[in-house]
Amino acid sequence: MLPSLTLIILFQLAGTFVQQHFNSPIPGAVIGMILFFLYLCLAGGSNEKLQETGSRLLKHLPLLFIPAGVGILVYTEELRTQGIAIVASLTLGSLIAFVITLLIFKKLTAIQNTTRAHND
Amino acid sequence: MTELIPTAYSELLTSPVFCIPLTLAAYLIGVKVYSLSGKNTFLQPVVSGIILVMLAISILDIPYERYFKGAEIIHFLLSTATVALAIPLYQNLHYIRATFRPLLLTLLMSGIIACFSAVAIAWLLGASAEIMLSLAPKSITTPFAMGVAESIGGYPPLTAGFVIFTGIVIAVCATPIFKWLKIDDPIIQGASMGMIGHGIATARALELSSKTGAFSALSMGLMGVYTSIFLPYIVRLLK
Repeated sequence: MLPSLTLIILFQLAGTFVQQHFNSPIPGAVIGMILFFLYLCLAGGSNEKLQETGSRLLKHLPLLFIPAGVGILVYTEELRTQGIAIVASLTLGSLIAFVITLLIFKKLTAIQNTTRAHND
Repeated sequence: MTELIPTAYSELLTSPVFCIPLTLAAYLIGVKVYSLSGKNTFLQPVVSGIILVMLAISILDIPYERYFKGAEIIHFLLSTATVALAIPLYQNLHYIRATFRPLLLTLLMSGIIACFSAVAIAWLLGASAEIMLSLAPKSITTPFAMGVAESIGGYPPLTAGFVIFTGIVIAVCATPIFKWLKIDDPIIQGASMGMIGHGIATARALELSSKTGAFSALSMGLMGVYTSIFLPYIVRLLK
């Protein structure tokens, strides 16, 4: 477990370093994830220990949101004054985006299927 | 309420020795409540966990900044777990071969639509710039979304809440919408759930079928990476 965890944290460090060095707006952890992903591609996949460590870290992912999430306390004023805009944006906006995504994917799949049938 | 707790203990209450078990206990109670409710989508463990910690620190009169400092190691591990997301993404990637072009093209458009629809509605209803920036990454999984919110000048804690809310909306409404639009392909269903409703909708997708779940997990990962890359640059351009 410890060597795998060290490897993952080293990619976290690499991501943070790249982010700061290039003053990138992409979060350091995301850059670290992309670098780690490239490593997995080059290494031809992850070994059992790496998978086990990864799934242990991710199993309780929601726990890791709590310290930051409690920070909502600091923004009660914004939530009170802009609550309607926020709830409308999240419900309506997400449903609209969901329906459009479904329709685009359905259309594109149909196009792919007809071209395939055509080529056959 | 300071008289409730002798000042001698205030040091202890803001130290990791107290803040870490407080967070763990709140989460474990959240997990218990979730499983006792038969995995009710509205009772996500993280929601109960956050509410319980909020209650505890309000009663004990601990300022949020001092609680966060005490529980910082847990927050640090969030970045570590984000890096570890590469493992399931790599494992799910082979699913993409079945539907490479439609999936990627949909992803490219969906990422922009998800941000734009949320920001446009908030703007119409007079939300502030910071709130709009906190809303923009709401369709990507929390670790990515909070990083993006911080990078573009939103409020990461609010974004965390917005992401969870979005996931619940999609998890609850997905099956009625599939019936309404007459969409029964598990690939289309799963991919759309993952793209807009991230991890919470993925948990729901897994209940529909393992294929739906796999496509949801893959799309969630791709959407997270894609949005984390394009959104900060778009915001930087507009500023």
